[in-house]
Amino acid sequence: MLAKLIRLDLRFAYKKFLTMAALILLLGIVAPYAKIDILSVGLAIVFTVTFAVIPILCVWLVVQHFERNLFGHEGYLMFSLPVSASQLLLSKLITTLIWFNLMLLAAVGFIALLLRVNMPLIDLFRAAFTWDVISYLLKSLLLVNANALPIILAIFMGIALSTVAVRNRKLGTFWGIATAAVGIALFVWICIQTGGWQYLNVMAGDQAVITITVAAAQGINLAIAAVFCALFFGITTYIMERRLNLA
Amino acid sequence: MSEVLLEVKNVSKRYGHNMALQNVSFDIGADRIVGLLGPNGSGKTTLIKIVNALLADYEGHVSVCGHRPGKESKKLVSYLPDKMALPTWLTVSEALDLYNKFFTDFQLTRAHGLLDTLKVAQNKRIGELSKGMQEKLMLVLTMARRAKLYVLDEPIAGVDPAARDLILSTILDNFTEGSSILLSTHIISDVETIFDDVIFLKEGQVNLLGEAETLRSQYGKSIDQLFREVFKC
Repeated sequence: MLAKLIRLDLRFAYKKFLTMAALILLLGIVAPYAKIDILSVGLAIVFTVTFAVIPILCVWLVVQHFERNLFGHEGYLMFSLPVSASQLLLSKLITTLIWFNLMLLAAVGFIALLLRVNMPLIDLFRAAFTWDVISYLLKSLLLVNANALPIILAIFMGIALSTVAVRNRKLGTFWGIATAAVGIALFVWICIQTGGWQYLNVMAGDQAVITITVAAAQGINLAIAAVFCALFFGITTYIMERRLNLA
Repeated sequence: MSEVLLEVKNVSKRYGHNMALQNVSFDIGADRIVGLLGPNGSGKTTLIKIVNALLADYEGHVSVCGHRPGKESKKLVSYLPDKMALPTWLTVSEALDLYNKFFTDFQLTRAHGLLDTLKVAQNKRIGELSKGMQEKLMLVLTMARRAKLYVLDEPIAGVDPAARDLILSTILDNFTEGSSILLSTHIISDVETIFDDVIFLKEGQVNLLGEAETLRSQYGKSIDQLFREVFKC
């Protein structure tokens, strides 16, 4: 059932996300040709605006889809399907992660396309496709995803919470946004607090100390992310199961 | 008494200071067509949403074939909401495919047959269909399931009198033996003959409850006349 839900969720917004990814790659292709000064300045603005707009657009699409698909009219269908609330939420989470990674991939592609001016793409790929680089990239991807997860879940929790106040939607929206913001801030603050101590050791220690310290900091970061994920996931599932109030 | 498909016991639901439902209790056995009757705002949709697990925050006890509203009960209940719940960018065929994938009791061949009978174009996007056609599509999806309980929220509210007969015959011809229907409406005259039992809901409370035939002979009035008397302003 989860696989079916994910396929359904992917179909809801794939055209929009693929278009945005294509747009980013297109920018990477045309950017090196912008050699005229005035045009370069113009394009720089376009690129900056685009790179500012695309992440906002992505977040907005995800929020809009989650809100409409579960708590709008489509919720009457989704909550009538013989699936549990946790499956519904998990499906939305996995789909969002897929879009998030697609956009990350597009951004990496964009940078690679820009770098082709200094280094042919084939040489760039040869340099990148070594075990060390791939392993480093995968580890980084894991960390980025692990840290994105609680933030996505905090947003979902905020949306779910905002629907609980049936009679006063504005108050509900305020509490939803406030809770999501506090949740995200708390997660980031704890990550910074628990991760900050490593830098002292990194500066002072030898390579072995640095390696162990960084690994420990990453482990702590993953553990904190897991705790926040469990907390936000639990609260959202509880609201969907026990406090659902479809308007 | 026959198997109880739906048990509602002392159910209350509050929206802020407003009581939408107050101590509502009734049972529905097998092979019954039950009319849930009441004017707008009487609590019909609220009750139906509770049965379908779309409202979880209520007091009292609801059980569908022994299951609390949730994942298991949804396998047994075929629900027709009072609003368009399908994504409008889906085509009619894709909507059928969606139901076929998620509901093991969905009968695709029957659904195709019903779409032909009701003249719903299968290759069109749902958003391109008229409101009446969208409602017919929802009805087809609901009635093409072999469910234990059919919960239909105002299935004839938005359709013209000619289409009402077609919709009613679609409902009556397609519900499974041994199953039951809970049908909410405030338009009584056209449908009262199909009801085995009726529940009058007034301001969130059960005002009158019983077998339709018994009530007719007891009060010497049709259900429609009784409704007008109970709910007159």
